[in-house]
Amino acid sequence: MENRKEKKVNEKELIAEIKKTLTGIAQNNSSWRLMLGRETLSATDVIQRLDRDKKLRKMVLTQSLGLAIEMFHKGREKIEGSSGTPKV
Amino acid sequence: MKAVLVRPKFDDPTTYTYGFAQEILQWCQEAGISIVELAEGEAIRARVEEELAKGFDLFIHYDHGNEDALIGQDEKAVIDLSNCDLLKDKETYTLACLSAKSLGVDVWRKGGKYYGYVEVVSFTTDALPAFQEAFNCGFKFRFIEGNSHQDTLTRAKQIFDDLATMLVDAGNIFAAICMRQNRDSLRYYNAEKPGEGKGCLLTLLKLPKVIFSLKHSKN
Repeated sequence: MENRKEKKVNEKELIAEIKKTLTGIAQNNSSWRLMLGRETLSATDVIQRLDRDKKLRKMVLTQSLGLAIEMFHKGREKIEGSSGTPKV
Repeated sequence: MKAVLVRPKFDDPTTYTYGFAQEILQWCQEAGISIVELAEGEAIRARVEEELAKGFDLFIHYDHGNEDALIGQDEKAVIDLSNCDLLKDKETYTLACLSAKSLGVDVWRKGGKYYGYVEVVSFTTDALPAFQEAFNCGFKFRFIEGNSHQDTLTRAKQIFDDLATMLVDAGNIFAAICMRQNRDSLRYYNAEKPGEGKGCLLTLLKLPKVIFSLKHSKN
């Protein structure tokens, strides 16, 4: 029960971060569009859709987590490939 | 080798994918692949059926689709379950959404090879060259470089991965999300049999048939 609550909180945090990114896009690149099948969505459209479109929300959450995991993998490969701490 | 390229253009997504397909056309011309282009007004069912009936090896379709169909300029199916016999024993390469889910499986059952997607395809306008590279690379691996179906699929998925990493580094996070989703949704029958993907409903639907055949094989 506690785990499920924790997961929901984490998902909300992740979605909030994604929305912040999209807000930045909306402010800095007004011509940005997402082509989602037959639909053309602005960054503001995507922000709104994330609240009501469960499928889109799930896709974004799944792939964001996947990207994070891959970044850790790649980081670890760099550490293991060198003699110690990666050079900054 | 003879190819037929169908590329309608009637909305924002097809305007971009029409451009993506230009590279395919150029590669074919450079590689000496004979190619018939059915673009915009020509990208309709009657013309597609007419051209396919003349004989071909490879059918290319950029863009919209659904589980059962590839869509033409008039927003009607150019290929669907009722005329996909035309793709029997041939190669199909498409960027259309969802079509590998049902139409691709049907084509594969008829002996065809099908490169397509089982989910909605997405891309963002801040990374168009990267998406073009991802969507077209399978074509280059298979038909220009002559890789096997399996190697083509493996190499294409690696390109999607590499591009997603590059997009993260460049700060195009949402483009990277779309790139990964497209990678997960990419299928190439025969490189894999339909239903081999993880969590595929098709596998579940085939379960009673598998149990039935197992029971009978014991008898």
